Amino acid sequence: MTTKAKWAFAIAVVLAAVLHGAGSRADDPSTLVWADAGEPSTIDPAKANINWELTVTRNVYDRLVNFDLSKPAKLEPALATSWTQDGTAWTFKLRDGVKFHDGSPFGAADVKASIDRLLRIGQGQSYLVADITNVTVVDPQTVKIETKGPNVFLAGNLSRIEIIAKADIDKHAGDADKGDAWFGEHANGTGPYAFVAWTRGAQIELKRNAGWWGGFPKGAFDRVIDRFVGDGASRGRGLEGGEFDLASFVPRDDALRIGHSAGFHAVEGNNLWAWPALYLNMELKPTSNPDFREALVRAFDYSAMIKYFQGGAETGRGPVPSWFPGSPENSEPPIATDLAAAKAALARSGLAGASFTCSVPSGFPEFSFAATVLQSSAAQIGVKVQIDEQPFVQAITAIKEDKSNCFVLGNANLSPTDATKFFAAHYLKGGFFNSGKFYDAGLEATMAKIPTIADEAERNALLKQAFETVVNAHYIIWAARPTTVIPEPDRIEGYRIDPAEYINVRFWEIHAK
Amino acid sequence: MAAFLARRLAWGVLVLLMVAILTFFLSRVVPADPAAFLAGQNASEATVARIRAEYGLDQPLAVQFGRYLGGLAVGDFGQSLRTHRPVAVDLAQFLPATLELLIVSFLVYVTVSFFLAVAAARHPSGWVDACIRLFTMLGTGIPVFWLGMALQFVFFYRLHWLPLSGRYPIREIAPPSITGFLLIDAALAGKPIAVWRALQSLTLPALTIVLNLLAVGTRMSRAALIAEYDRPYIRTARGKGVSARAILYRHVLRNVLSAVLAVTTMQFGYMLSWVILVEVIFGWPGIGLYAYQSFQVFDYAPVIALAMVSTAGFVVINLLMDLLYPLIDPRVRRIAA
Amino acid sequence: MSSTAPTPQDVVAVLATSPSASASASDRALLAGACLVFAVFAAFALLPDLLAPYDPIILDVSHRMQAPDWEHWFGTDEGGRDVLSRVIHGTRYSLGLAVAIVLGSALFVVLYGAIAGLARGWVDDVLMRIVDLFFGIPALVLALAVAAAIGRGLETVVISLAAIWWPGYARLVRGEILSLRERPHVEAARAIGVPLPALLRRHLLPFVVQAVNVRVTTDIGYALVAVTALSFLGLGAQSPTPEWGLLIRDSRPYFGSAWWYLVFPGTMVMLAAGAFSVIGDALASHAAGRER
Repeated sequence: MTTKAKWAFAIAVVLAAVLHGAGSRADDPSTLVWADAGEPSTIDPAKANINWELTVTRNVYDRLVNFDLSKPAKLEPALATSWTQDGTAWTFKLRDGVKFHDGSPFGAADVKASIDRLLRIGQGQSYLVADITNVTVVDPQTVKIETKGPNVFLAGNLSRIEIIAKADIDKHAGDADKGDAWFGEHANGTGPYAFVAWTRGAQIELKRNAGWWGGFPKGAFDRVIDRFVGDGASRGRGLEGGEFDLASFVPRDDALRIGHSAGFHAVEGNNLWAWPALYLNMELKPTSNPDFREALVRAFDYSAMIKYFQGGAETGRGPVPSWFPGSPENSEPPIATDLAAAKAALARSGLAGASFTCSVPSGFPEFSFAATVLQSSAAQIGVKVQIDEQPFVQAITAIKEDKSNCFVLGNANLSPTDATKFFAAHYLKGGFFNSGKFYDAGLEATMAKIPTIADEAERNALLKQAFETVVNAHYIIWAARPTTVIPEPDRIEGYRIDPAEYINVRFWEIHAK
Repeated sequence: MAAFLARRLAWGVLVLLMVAILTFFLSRVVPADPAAFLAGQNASEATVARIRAEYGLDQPLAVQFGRYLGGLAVGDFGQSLRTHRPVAVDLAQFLPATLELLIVSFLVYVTVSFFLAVAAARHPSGWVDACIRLFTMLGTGIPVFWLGMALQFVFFYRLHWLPLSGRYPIREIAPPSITGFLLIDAALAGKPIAVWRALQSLTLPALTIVLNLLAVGTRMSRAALIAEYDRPYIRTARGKGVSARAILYRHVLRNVLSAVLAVTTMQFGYMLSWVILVEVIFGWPGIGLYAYQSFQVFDYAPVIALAMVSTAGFVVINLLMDLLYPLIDPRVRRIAA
Repeated sequence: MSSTAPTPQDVVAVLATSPSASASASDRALLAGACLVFAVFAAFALLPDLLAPYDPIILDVSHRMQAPDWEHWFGTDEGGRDVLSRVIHGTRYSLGLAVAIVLGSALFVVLYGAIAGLARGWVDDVLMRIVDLFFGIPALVLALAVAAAIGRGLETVVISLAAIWWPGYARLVRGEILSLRERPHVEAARAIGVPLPALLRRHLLPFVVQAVNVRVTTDIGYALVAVTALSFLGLGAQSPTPEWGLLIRDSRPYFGSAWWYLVFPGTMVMLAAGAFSVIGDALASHAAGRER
């Protein structure tokens, strides 16, 4: 060998020896790396409303009430230890001895300040408690919250409302924007994990709050790194290769395969109310025609979606999933493909041979696939569908501005007990996700009435009515309701699917085995 | 010379202005509403309207553009609707990452490309040459994002040699950021292991860029070298018994330097354009990824800022080239005179 | 600085089309291989319905994500569609677009460059300044802006790429014309008063076309990669068009479970671009040979 070649060979050998095993591995026992699907725009709990923002706010702050993930109707004490309803007033007794991460004590004044601020800002999850009219500090351990009308769901909805420190609000109140910008980048909560640092473009670091009022399981992680990994394929790769310990929204095929491979197990559960659902534009031809919509609903190939989810899904029968407390779904007629009925409905509509556009949010393979199924199903009855894939905000704006007849969405109901919030967002006038502009006066009245009724059976009867109203309007094609699959490495335990949210993570329940 | 410089600078400014106009107006002729994104899901119409007014999004286009141009003149690129920070601050944060990647890749590329081209040109039609030609032929057709994914698959997923993404191994604590260039910061912190770790994370993205550039650049450098070797004076030199090494270093290289420089310049400009793809695949927190994420949510100030920065880069590089070129190649100087 | 001095861009233009092929046996074999590949892709583009074993659009979800086997040489995708058939049908879009962009730019520009080269003086200056302006725009950013304005789709890809492709040709054509002007036969023709159109047609264009030819052939490979890159970012073709870049994009979430979905379309891009590169090389050698 020439001298040069010998050198090259030697270098290669050394390099290989050094590189091997130098890649990141999950050896560090007290750090948990969570790969989230995006970078927060803000970590202000009054404004956070998308999964990767909630990842931070849910773990850094506490709420008055929690709920049992396996039984969402069962509320659990958190910052409040007990609560009672009396007409339009709810009274919460607060926990003693709780401190914020900066050491200051927590009390009723913080609850009032948090809720007042949330309602002032009007963004984030404020819609869940928008009917609050007044918050009163009865004494440092008691707070009274009054609503416009009696609302049996208030406590459950408060399980999503984070409590921040009044002192922080006051400290920055003099700033130009009432200090809102400070909360976008800083977090001082009472929660199980404290905010440490935010490296833009890369990650947010949290550290365990040893003085938290709740208990940590043995092997809880001292340090959590919330990594922003915008690409689903990379999250899957990284999870499988050990670079991440857990990952959000791993594409389903990968999630199933990894979950059933050596070194992993799959955590499965119900969570989303629709994943995906196709929303039809009620105000734009040809989908403004109810028979045309019915034709699409009947023509859609639901079995293709079930196969896509490899059997781990069911076809929805309406807006409320069967596992939700009080859901009428199991008593409703199943929805199935019926080409003959579809063609008949199409004939009745007089719009045979029509064509329309479907705007599809990019980044979700299930959405693209559902749109593709719609395209091919519609082709079976002679209707042409054009797909336009765009980022989420552009896609939803397209249908709202009547540039598209259809939109694909997947969603959960953030409240564990209150279905009216989901209806409000999706089927009532002005709801953000009511992209197809559905409107039914009876439905509006029903939704306003339900929270005021104390008797559960009566509420469920009204819910059934509402369910049927939406189904009969053929506004939505419920493409599938799949289970959620999260692959968890065998060295880690504790991840549970949150039935009332998108993929959500409670860091305080996760521990090394 | 001064007149030339002034003219080219003025020209550069004109190009920048044109790009600003183009991207600004194109981005505003958009069928969607940044205010809706800002307000977030479930916000009421009133909230959205309030936010629209807050950010000045309800002003007529010309007013918005006027404000934007005015800001540009003082180095203010506007506010990012997504990060809620001034774009200038975001750029200062993310630009070093992109530059570090580009500069390191480029240095490696220039070195390797030189050796490959020389190897090919010294023995044209030999088997080394054939391998290199095959490589360049196939290499031009490999999309850079495909290459990146393939490298990730082999080196992270299968071999576990290198990290999947990011600038620094996730579980390790990165050195404090002083210059924004991790390699330099690690050295400043006095930790060789940190330098090593930063290099590991840099390897795959840089390798992707290097391989991509090599395919095209080597082909052209090789062509230049071959053309030079073909000249009569080389044959004369060989006939006189001048050694191959002397021919290479004393004659050939000096004469092709300008051509190679031209190719290298073009490559750098090309890479400025497509570095977004590499950053997206490798989660590299540079301005490419930043602009792409902003684009997805209608936040256009960063996209325009990226356009300006890359165009400015193009202009500067081309200007440098135009200046250096006649200096390096006396033949051109003679024609120009 | 005189505007007729060769600029770095001119040098690059020349190098990009410099002959690097020789007449050796291995080179001839390579050329033969490239021509075969070209023929196959041409067949794919012109007769996809005949050659593709399955329909590229119709879903067959029961057979989704199947590894390559005798029934499906390239495997199936997430909807059960045959990847080979999709690739075959996609040729028309990906390669067709690349060819259209490059040819379109070249055609437009032959006239543009000819005018600049013949007119000289301030007309030449202005035309070349416009070219320089377009040279300065980063391709991808322009594509993002165009997509923002007119939405996504194949039109966006064509407009964005054509806008940044033509400046290169303008310079090439102009350069050719400039050097051709000085040639003896052209001087002679002008001396005896041959009118301009005839001059163009008989004495200038044939050489210009030859030079452009070479560049066009090599450039189709680059254009193809650019087209796929734009689709990959979501700016180009939309579902269910089986354009290669879109196939690669769609394959990403399934890569861990279906490597074939990513590998085969990518390989097609590589082969097509490589083939055009080899053919372009051969054309360049041929042209250089004739010139000598």
